[in-house]
Amino acid sequence: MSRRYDARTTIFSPEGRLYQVEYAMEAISHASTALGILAKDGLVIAAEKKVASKLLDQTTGGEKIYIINDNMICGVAGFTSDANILINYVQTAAQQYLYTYNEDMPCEQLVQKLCDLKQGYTQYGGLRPFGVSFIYGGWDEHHGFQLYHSDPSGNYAGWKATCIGANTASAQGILRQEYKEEGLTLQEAKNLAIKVLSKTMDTTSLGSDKIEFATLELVDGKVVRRIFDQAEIDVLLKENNLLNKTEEAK
Amino acid sequence: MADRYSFSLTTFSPSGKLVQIEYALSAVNSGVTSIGIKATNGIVIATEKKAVSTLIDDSSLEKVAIICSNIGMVYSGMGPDYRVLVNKARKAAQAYKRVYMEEPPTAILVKEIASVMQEFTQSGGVRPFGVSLLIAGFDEKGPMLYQVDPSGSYWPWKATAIGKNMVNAKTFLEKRYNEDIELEDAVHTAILTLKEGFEGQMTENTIEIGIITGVVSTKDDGAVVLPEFRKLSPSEVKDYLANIA
Repeated sequence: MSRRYDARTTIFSPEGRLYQVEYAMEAISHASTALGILAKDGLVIAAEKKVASKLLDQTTGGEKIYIINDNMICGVAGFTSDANILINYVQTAAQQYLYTYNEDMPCEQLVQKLCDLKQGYTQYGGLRPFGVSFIYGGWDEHHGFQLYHSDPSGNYAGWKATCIGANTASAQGILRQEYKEEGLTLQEAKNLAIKVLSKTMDTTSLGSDKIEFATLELVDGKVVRRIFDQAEIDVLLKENNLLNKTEEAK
Repeated sequence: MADRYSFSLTTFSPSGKLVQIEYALSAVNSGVTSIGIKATNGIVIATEKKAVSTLIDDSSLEKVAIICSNIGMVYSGMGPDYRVLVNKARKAAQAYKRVYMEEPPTAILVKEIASVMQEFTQSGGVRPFGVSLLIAGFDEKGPMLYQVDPSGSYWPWKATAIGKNMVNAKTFLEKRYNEDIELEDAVHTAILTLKEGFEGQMTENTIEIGIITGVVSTKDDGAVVLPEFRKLSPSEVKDYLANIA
């Protein structure tokens, strides 16, 4: 049987590889993009939406950006159905923490909690891993604004700016080039996010129906999450098109 | 035997695909077409009902199912799998009612069904469900129409089609749909969409239609009364068909 180590999720191949985890990551590299950028005074999570039909009902939330709790949001790339399960898990975990300690769960602890579950699926029970990567953006009193990325293996790391899904290489390239050592303002981060999306999306026309966009910032010491609606994304696009034009004029 | 299959049957292929899910989708795409349209004042879901023989009592075939008083659904794909899902959905709705003493909001029930379907793409020894669902519900926020796929992904739609004739039907709907369509019109549009690519004679016995319409009201004791999902009787369907012809 040539696929002896392929289909079983929790068994090492003779070379020490976990094929199912590698294949899951391959799935994500074809999924629509999601990116996150950390700013000094906030953070941005933006995503490309693949299914864009006139007939889709846009009145409810999107499928790429989710709210975890009062001070965390996340973007996903991969199987949305798998993501739903994990997000439900981590939302519950966050509320359980709040119930026990009467304060919001620290960001990294929450990321770790979810990653422990993902890791479990690569070691126990013989079930396939979850086919999703996440970008988490959050704020806590310990470390301020934070951006994390996690993948199907259960690995996670903190980032200043990162990207998951298709075209990550070119997106990361732009992010690396444009991210300033001293950090960005939230406005700069928003513009950068739009710029990266405009350069990496496969479509020629950038429209608000193909984008999901969210920010996190502090207003009067309180975390404010903003999930942009279509009109607000249009404003953002307009601002940036205008910006581009004035730059060219110079 | 039981523990021989305690591992996932739906696993990643080297290209990152979950082929079992894709095959399940093929089952859906070769299934009978179903249509759903959300109107300003309600929702219609409709499907073709094909009996394999004229000797079958077609009043015993039921494809549009009532899940709870404010939610109904229809499917494309494998009939037996659908029946199991209908049972699970009805149970989930009753479990919700037991806890909260009110009908489940559409989005909550959809989430519940979707997570069951996701479980069957990952659990040990099971295959995914070979059905896509159209779920129509009315809650305090108004009417909502959802599609749930074998993967457990779901989307809210203004109008959509699943099954064999999905692509053509969607193009047809894109042309026909407008934001302020009312339910009466939506029922007509649904029938017309089904008629595209309908094989054989369309009669009140070969299509099934479910609707939900009305207004949300509050009783004196503060209890919220939601509109009720119901199936159109063959004679009602006959009237609609007569209007169109």
